Amino acid sequence: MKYPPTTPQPVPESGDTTSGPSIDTENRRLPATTKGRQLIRFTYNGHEVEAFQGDSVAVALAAADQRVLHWTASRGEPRALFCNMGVCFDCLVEIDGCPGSRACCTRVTEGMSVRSQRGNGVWERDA
Amino acid sequence: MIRRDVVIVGAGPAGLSAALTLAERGLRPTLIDENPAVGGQIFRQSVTTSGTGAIGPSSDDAQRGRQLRRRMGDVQDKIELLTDTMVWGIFGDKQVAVKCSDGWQMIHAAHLVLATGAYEYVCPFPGWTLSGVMTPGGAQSMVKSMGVLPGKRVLVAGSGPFLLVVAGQLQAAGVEVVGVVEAVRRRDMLSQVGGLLACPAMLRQGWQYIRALKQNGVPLLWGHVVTKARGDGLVREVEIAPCDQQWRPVSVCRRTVEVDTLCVGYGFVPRSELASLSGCRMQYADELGGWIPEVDTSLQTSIDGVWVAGDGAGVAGAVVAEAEGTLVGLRILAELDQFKTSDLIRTEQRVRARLATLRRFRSALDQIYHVRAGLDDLATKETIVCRCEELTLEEVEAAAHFGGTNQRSLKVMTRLGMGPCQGRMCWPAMARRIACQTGKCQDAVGPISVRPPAVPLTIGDLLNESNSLDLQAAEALRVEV
Repeated sequence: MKYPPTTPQPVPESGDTTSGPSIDTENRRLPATTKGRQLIRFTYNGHEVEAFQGDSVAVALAAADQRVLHWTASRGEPRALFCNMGVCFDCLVEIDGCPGSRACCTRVTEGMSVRSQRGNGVWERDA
Repeated sequence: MIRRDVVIVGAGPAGLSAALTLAERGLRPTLIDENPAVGGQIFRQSVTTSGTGAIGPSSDDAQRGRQLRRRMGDVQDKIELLTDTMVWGIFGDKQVAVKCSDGWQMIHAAHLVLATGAYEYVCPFPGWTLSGVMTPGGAQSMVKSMGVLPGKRVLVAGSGPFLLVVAGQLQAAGVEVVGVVEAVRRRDMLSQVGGLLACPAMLRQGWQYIRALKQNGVPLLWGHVVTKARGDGLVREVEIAPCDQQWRPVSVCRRTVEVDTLCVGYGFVPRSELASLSGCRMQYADELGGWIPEVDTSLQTSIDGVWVAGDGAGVAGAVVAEAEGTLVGLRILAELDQFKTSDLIRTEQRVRARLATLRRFRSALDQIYHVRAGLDDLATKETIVCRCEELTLEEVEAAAHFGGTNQRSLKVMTRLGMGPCQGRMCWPAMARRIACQTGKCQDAVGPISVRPPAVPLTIGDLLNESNSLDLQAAEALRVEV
């Protein structure tokens, strides 16, 4: 990916979980802060991710080294957590089949299915 | 529709202290917040049970936060607390549309207090849409409330004392903070120290942040700005340059720093969209961060019974927000004829005196840190200025050239601000730019026009009327006045 791209970039195929370059995952989560919190499992693009009770989807994914959450509609550029308080709408993902959900404002629940959103996303029943 | 005497939107320092002021004196306010817990962004509670010690907010903030929560504990049953609840619109005469987990509901408020806070101002620059570029506040809340590090090598840049706080907290959490880049030059800061002496305690706190960074070997660069972020989808390196008094980068001595995360924010923008949806008369106040509702000395807006407090009424920080919240609470008590004892009048005088002292400190801070025009030079033709609609500066400037010099016409011509953020991210910077280039005042350029739903809603949400607030409870909560 080049910035700025001159032509729209191809959006990765469905099921591609890498969604861009990644950084070292080790020690992204402070061990002291997981004490007494229930372990929660959810999926991101079909792959299981472990999180803790109280995590937002965006932060749980950041801890699992999944930074890119959303691919923009016209240029296909990767976007990640930006404001982390529900203002910027960069972290839009599909949560349990509902696109346009803000990953920073939604807390993870057991068995939740999260998918990175491409453009405006797809409603599950339309998929 | 449900009726309530006082509805407070936002449970940060301003909303919380307004709610406490009312509840401690016998009223039953309804307190709404979109977050799972009270405290807002500044007193955001940690999800951990043990508390976070070193990575929590600074000791003074933490103490104030604890104090508010203790008071909250004492009157908990007197406040109708609706967390995880979003206000998506305000209609007619103080009718507040809320979305809870099980649907939506309309609350008719006799008094509406908007304590909606602020969000960070980020001026577009090449590479600001790369993954790994985020706001300092965003990074802070990752660490503070969820114990997850935003990255391993982080540069904190922008302007304002908040950068020092965030850098210190990231550093304490184990992030390698490669530096703090502050746009204000040291001499421009020092020339305002006189005004800062109005609040010696707060000045001392700032000094402590700076000293802590120094002790931990984090360089603090005054008079520098981030001019570029580069990377392949994810930010890899950041270019910084010295800047002049107007924050215009100069071409000499540019250097590149390798990072995996860049936190960048130039102060805050008031979150005033609910005030504007309520129909309050708005005004532009550059030194207070942008568009704010016009208020009288009691913080009542142009609409009877709509009050504002805290950063949403003009960015001034948590201490001012708390005092303003208390003041609004006291004024509402007075309006409802609950304000009779001399003790309460004395309280109001004390709060007003405190606000007057803080105002001196705050205007010195505004003098130092208010956003300067030089930042406009950062964006190049190809830089995306509207993150949602992916418009480049070139596209927006072309429209401006053909007469798109106010918010409405630009929206029609380019779709600027028509994405899901409704212009919250792009418009403050674009409005500044257009005002500067055309010589128009901000009133002519116009504020953003956020429309309901102010937060995302599904049609399904609208089909379900929420039962979390049932009518019987509403009757029980009604206060005889």
